[in-house]
Amino acid sequence: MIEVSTSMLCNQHNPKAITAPTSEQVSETASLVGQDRSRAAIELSASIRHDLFNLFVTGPAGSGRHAEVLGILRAHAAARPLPVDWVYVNNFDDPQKPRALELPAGKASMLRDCMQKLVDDLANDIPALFESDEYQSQRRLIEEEIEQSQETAMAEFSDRTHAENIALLRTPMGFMLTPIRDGKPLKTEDYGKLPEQEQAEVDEKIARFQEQLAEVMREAPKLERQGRNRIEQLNADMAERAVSARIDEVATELRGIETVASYLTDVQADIIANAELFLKSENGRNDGPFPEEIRKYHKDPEFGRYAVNVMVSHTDKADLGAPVEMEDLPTLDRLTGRIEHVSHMGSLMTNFTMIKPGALHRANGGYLILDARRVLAEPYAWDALKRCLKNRRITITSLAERISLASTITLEPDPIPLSVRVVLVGDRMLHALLVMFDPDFAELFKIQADFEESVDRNAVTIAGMSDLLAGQAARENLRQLNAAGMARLLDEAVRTAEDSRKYSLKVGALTDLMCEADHYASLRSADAIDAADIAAAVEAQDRRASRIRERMHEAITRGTILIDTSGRKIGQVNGLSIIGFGDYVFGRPSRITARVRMGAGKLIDIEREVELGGPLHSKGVMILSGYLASTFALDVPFSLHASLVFEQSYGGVDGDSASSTELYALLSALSGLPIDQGLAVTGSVNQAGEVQAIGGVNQKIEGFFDICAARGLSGQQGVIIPKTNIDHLMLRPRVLEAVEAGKFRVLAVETIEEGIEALTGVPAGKRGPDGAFEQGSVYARVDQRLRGFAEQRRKFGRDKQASNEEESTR
Amino acid sequence: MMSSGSKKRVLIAAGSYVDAAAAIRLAERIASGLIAELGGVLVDDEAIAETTGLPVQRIVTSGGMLVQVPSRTRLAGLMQSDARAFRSGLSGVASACTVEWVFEHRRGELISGICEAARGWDLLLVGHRTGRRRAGRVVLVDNASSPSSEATDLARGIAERLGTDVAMIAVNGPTAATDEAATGPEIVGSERALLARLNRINAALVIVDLAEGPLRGREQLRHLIEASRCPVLVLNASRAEPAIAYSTLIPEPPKAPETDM
Repeated sequence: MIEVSTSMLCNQHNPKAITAPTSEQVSETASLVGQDRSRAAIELSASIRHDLFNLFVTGPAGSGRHAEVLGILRAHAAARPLPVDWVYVNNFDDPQKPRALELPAGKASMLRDCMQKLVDDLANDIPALFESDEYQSQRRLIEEEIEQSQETAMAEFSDRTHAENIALLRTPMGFMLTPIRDGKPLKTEDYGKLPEQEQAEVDEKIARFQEQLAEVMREAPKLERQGRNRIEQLNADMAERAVSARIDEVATELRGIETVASYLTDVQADIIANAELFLKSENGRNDGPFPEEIRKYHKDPEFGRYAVNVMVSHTDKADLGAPVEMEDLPTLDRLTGRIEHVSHMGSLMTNFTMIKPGALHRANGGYLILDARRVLAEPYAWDALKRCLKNRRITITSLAERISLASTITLEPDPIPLSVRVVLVGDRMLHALLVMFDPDFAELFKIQADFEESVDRNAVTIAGMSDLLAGQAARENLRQLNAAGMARLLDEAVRTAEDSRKYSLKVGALTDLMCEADHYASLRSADAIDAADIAAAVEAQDRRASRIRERMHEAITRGTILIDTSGRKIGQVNGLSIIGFGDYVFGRPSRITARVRMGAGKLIDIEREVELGGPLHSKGVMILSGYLASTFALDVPFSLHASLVFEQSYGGVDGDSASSTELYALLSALSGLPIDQGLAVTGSVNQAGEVQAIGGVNQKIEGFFDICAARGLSGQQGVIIPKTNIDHLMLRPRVLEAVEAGKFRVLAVETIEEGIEALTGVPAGKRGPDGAFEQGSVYARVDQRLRGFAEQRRKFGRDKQASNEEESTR
Repeated sequence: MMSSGSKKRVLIAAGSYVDAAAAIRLAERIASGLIAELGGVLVDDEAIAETTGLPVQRIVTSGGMLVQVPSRTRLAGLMQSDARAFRSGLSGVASACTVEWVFEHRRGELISGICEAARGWDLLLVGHRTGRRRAGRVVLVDNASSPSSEATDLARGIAERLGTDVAMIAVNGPTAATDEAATGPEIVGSERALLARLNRINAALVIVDLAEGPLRGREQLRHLIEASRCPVLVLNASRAEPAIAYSTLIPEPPKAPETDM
């Protein structure tokens, strides 16, 4: 057992050994300290050419993962070429399947502007051409020719019937031919009176003319059709002249792109086929103050078919390299893009101009950073992301379509080829779950960047942490820290790490502390953040979160919760436990008592019996039971019946940090030696009696100290901790001051023997050559008590057997 | 442009609904500002019933099909159906123009029946089926020596509403100068030449004033309707001189052959 010195209780930084960076030395892009492994993983994912080496970044929240990933990706992106542009244009053959065009970087906007100008120009040129005398005269000529053909056919037929005395009668069903005699239609009864030869002649004429009339009637639609075709051809010829001339004016750099050339060919054919669109646009639209000639025809809905929907354009990003995109709300729509609809006459309509890009479109050719939990929480987003990565193309499918809610027309746009490196940022649990339950995950996300939670404390990391924290202060526009302030902040980083040899890498929490300290520095009009500002911020944070702690503290000091801090008691020890509410953790003492009697080797853990003890606590109790059984009265049956309890504990208890405490209580109860109530104990124990490290040691010590301090420090009070926890000590100044003043002690033990000696003031005792413990020692008393229980049990067994035999002989 | 003061009482007349429908469609387009009251008369032409039943006789439909000639009973049923359709179409136009309307179904010779029914009406619109889709011109048949100013104004007003132009054909001699020099009257030498010319014109409507000539009689009106193959708007129809008793589109009796010996 050792009494821990104040230097070991809080291994503070010496401000004189700290060089706080000046404002000029501070870099806002200072990278994290001690994250070499994760940085290498990010670098690999960012630079490897092969697909599917996507990255999953794990680590604690507030560790600066996002900023670190973003910094590394931006550096790589700057060195990569600018990706191509993508646009959607109308598919003139099948409007439901818009075409995707790939264009060199920066050309998408140029094509869009070019098409808008082309439509505006043709909306002026084509009507002018169709109003020209040349066109009108040609058209009139065709129409007159067709009309004349129709009229002539009927007129000639009429002439022929007149010449052969046949009349044409109009009936409700159609035309009827009948012979004429003496200028009048021949009645049926008169026809019967005609000679047979004459009847035959009449019949022949009527039959012949009926056929001729039928032929004339059948020809009429054909003539109409011919006329229509000729006019359409004339229209096409005229439109073709205008459109060809205008398309020839399209910039050579656009026409030189194969996909654009093909698209312009389609546009030309479509405009020629639909020239009437441009004629309609001319009719009575000039209701604005500007001349008709400069009207923006391309904004009219009917010309939407020639629009260019720019999905991704890199016009203004020439010097930025590949894109690095972040999507804070990775819904299905915002990830893969969406197809919007407008209400028209009560129906939902859409077209290719309503296709909107998603994060994958914007990040295509570069990097996309997403929050893993949010992607997984959004319906169908994870599924869509995996599908796009696996197929290496972006397919837009709306949520309504996925769940079969869409009952209106929708589109099937060409998928856009995808080459993107996706970086998911999440926690380790999510990563583990995905690895276990999603068979696609390992294939698609081959690299994991696991951020450390802490880093070793040495001269290099001190400098690194100083740079990092100073950089954070600069990024948040805070005052810089002076050396004392930096030293105090680094102390907090050590305490947060719960290890005096390490720094916590929870940069977010430290930055929050700096922000608050900066506020206090501003209140005193200081130029820099000092140690006092950091201390004030720590104290204020602690006070804000400490309502529950103070209520418990009050309950103990008022005697509602029974905790002795002086005197000696048999079978009663002060244990130390911690209670956590989110980020805030505090310690409090608990009374642990043990009661023993003769039995059959049963150790009752009351917490477990009433299901208030967790599995780790039960494990600790079983271990100490094993220690007892293997240490004492080895040659007789283990005849102990003991019970252990956390007094006044009404919530759950878990963890094995009280197992040594429970063992001390049992040893006290068995030996009959009282335990010093001014001491509190923490530490777990193994079956060999070694005391093992526990968590939250600082908070546990401070919890008992505060109770003792409230009642008045006697100088005899203190705590017993595992020796292996000494490295984790980073106690608050109030404890250090009390220890320095000799009013409080922190004892560290390696074994149960050391601990029981400290608690009882009696040597634990070792087995002599005869196998017996030293006379008068704690263990000798325990051994003797257990043997007594065994003897008593054997005697009880013999008496009972004799009694049974006596009864049987009667 | 026709003013409200020049509104007319118009009678639509036809021998079947197919013919009447063409006139009704036309009336719909020109009704506003022109028609003060609307009448309809369907004349069940006796000549049709009397001439059906020849062995090879068939009906030639507008689509060029040959179908059996219906029996007289069936024909009578068709006429009743046509009368109902005519009446319905007429009431539709009248209600759209908010004018009074009357309808009559009579039996007899077509032209005589029409002209008799036209007594008391300002204008007679004789229906005639037309298979043409492209609307033709408004043709004004006029007398070159004494052009009808009323018919000319009417023709121009209707042409404006139909979005077409007026073609004027006059018989015999030069006509008075018009302000439409480019579309001045076409002069023909005889009534026969007039009909031959009309036979080859794609007209939307032919307008004739029977009081002013050159056509004055019912027989001439019958030939005009036959040659026009479109609705004919007749002014002063009741003043048409009676002619032969038969009806329909019956050609003139052949004249004695001309000889050039």
